[in-house]
Amino acid sequence: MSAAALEVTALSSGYGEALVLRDVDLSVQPGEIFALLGKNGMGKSTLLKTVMGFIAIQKGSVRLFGVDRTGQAPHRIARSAVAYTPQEQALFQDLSVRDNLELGLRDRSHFDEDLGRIAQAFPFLPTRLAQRAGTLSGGEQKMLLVARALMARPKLMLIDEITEGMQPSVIERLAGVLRAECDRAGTAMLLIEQNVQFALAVGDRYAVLKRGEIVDRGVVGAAGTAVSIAEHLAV
Amino acid sequence: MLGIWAIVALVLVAVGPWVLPTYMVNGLIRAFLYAAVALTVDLLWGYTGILTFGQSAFFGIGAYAVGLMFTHVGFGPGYATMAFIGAVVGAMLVAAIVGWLAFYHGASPLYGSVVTLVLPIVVSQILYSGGNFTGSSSGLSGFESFDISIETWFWIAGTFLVLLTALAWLFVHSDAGKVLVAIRENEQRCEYVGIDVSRVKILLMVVCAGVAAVAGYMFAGVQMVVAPEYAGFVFGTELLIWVALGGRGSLIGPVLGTLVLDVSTSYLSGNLPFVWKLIIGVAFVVVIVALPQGLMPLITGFVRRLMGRGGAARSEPAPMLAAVEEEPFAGLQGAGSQALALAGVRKNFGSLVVLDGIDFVAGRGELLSLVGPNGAGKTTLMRCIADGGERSGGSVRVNDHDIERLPPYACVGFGVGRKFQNANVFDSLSVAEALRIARSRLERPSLLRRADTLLLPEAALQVIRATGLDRDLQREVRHLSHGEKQALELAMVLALEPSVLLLDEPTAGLTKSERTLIGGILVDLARNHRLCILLVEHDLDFVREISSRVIVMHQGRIVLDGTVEAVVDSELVRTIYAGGMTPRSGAVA
Amino acid sequence: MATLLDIVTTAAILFAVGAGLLIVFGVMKIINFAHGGFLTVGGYSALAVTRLGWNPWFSLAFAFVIGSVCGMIIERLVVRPLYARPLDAILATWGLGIIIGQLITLAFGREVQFVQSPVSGAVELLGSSYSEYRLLLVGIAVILALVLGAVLNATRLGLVTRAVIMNENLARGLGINSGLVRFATFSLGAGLASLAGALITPLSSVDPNMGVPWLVNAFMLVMVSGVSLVSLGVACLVLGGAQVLVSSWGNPILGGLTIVVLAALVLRFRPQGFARD
Repeated sequence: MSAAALEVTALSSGYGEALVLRDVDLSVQPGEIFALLGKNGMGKSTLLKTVMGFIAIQKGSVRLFGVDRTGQAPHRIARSAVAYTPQEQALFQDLSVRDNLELGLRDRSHFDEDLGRIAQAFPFLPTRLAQRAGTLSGGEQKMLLVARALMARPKLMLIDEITEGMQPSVIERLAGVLRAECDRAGTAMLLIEQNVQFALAVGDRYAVLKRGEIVDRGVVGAAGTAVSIAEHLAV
Repeated sequence: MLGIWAIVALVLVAVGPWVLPTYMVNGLIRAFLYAAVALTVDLLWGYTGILTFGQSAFFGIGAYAVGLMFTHVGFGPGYATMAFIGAVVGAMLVAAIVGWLAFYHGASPLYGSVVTLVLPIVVSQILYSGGNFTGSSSGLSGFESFDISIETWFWIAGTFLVLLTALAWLFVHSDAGKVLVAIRENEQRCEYVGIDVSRVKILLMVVCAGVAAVAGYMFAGVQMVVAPEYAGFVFGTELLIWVALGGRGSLIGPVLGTLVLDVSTSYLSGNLPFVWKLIIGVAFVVVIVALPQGLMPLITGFVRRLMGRGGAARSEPAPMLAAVEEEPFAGLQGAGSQALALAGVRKNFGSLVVLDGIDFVAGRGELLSLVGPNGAGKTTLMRCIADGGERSGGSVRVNDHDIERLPPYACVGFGVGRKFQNANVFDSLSVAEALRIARSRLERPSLLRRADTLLLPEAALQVIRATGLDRDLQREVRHLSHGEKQALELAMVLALEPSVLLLDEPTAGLTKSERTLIGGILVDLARNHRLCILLVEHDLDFVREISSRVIVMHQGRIVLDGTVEAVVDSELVRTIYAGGMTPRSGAVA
Repeated sequence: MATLLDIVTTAAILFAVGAGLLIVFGVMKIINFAHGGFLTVGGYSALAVTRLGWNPWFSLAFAFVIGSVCGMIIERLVVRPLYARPLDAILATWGLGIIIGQLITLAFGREVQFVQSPVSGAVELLGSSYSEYRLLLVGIAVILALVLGAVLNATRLGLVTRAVIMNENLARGLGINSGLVRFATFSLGAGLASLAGALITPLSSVDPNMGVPWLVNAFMLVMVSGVSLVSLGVACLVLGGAQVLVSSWGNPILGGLTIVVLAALVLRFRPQGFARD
């Protein structure tokens, strides 16, 4: 059996003495989309940042494709076929669309080929390559983020609240793109979401993070999934 | 303790001229005066965090006041007095201008240092271009000066240094001295605690300029030579080197360091001129990179270990805690019925609109929670209430006072108290010292003493007692746990006696019991002390338990403003939080 | 006419001196006070070329290489530990400047010495005679600006560097080794400073402290330019021009203060300086 794409074991991390994540266990298999849910401030973004190496790990370990990468620098983790889409400040606003896309690639000599591959899912992109990324609309910027991630042919995608502020129609399209990519290439995906319905529409498995601890997990589609989640996230 | 050391030092100064060889006596006079200037650099840089290259300029002004007066006008007691006044007043005026330029509200520390770097360059260049008046590059020399023997000069300079050091020692250990450290550690927090940081910095610079000018005056008096180098950039950096090597922020370190280094330099300069300077340069770089506190802490640490004392707490007895007697919460005096009134408040960063016209009114006794998804503008709104310069449009009134464009320390004066999310409270101060800093707007801190009682409002005392901090008053803040730091910060904000309390995610990182405690305190503050409390919170359980009113924000606007029940039941809110997509494979929506 | 040429050549010289400092400031957010020391290294590299009897044109390349190597060593040993302490970095690099000055003094002696210029003599230009070397400097500065601009805007390295300047953490998250970028940038900045030092020495002379006056001017120009080579060019023209005018019509010593004082005032009222918002 091949190794999990991402395996987080007993992970605790935070800022100085304030522990944000407490003893978190999580695994994402290749070819699956995993939805991590939870309200604001519960530690979801912190988990991604910790996996990516931006936040020091106080206890526990992070394994990517069977390799222990606990404590490695962010650029090394990114280079092990991991594409990270942060929630804020995820684009270089003053650089062109093309530059933003190129920065996601290790080898830009196949740029046109790589762009062609995903152009069908992002039809607006090829005509906007010279435009400054900051001038795109909010939804277009988010789609650009996903395009950048996909072009790099990642084996694992870490996506932080991508649907925030998106229109429903764009969200639907995005769900289709992610699902297609996962099915076609076996890319593992860990999605951080507050949008429960989107998460349930694309996810295979889910977990709920509350105050730094996993309080619920399961398979999407099992009876009672939505009810169970709703209990944890009730306004 | 200080008295004994001062007397010992004075005795050493007294016997010096008879014990030491003549050239050393000469050299030490100069070193004493340099050490006095180094002391001012330590006060500015070591204690307050202002990297200054410019103290040499004030030294030079003092020296040239003497040179110019005695060369062009004449020598005599009247002229000497005029030169003295000219030196001190001139230096202080220049310092005030430099301070205005460098320490304006919102200036970056780098810019401040840049200005202090420009100053000695400007002064020395002006001196260079002064032709016969200032003597240009050769300076002024051979003027008639005080007819005092070298020994007497030694006593004067030495006593000056000892007295200055003693005074400075008293100052940095007083309550007012702790404000300097607080500014160095967290300038923003000081602003939000009601301290006009710009004014403190300018005042400090003016006083230090005067002291440096006096040292320069004496220097010219004894040397009878003044040259532009004394006012220049290179001398300014030499001072920094001495302070860094001696130990910034320790007062004695820079003084001793200067004495040792300056005397050594005059000795060794003759024999190995460039190698010595190279050694100093290397030592300097090594110290900055690896031993930022200088060599002094190595010595004091050693001494402390010999005497068996630890360093995590203050050794003096803790101050006594007492409750403020008069009407609690000075901020509520003269408070209108509207604690908080916002009209059309807007905030944009270029074309990005973060707040799009916020209107609401809040009164005393309300506990109002601001909720909403990320990016809704909640924290930005808090900032706009606490800082008059933050918003792009609209008006904010606190207790019927329009905050206009006033900076945070002025808003504190209207009754605003803001608690930040990450408790970044002054790490090197003790709990008691931190609390006293918070009281400094209402109770002027003493310039020479430490008060032995600490007056706090009842609510702040409650927080301190409930979290056990009252038994830990002398502990340094850096050793507190996260929850304790949050509690301390809350107590500090309450110590301001605000009438409007702004809290940014007060429960972040707290354990369940700590959360319950905070919740109880906040409810009590609103209900019994009639504060208007506004909090930004993601923990919706917490919000539900304690709020009297909830405002939901989304994309820079208020979408709902009502009771907890109304918001919880709202369909709109559910949509905002939960998104609106059809679920997958048969799961029930 | 001569005044106009003075302004242009002064601006060119200032640009050459400031470009390296600007790049370092942009990427690493620190002011490298050893910049003056690197200028001096460049000057003495040119002196070495003169002494060895090599072709004076070679001094530029030679100075660049020596400077870069020094930069690499210094970045690893001194600058890297100080990433989080920008004010201390100013002091430490100043200390390095002192060390460099002393080492040079020990090696070459303290006296003022002269370097052979690649071209000498004057050229007739629009009615007045002007130093050929100064005009050459304008050309070199322009080439330098174009090369730097090309590297920054048209190469992968340049793109990566600009990304690190704009948002270092985002760049790291995309797989860019920002530590390596900083290392390369500092070395390049040092090499450029050294090159500038070699460029300016034929104008006057070399001595162990030649870098200091240039350091402060360059520093102020960089502060006023934000992180844009174009702004630097504009600042050099405007402030350098002001310096020439004050020096010719007023007092040359006070003229030396023009850049520094004007820059401080500009920053007081417009903290971003000449850069766009």
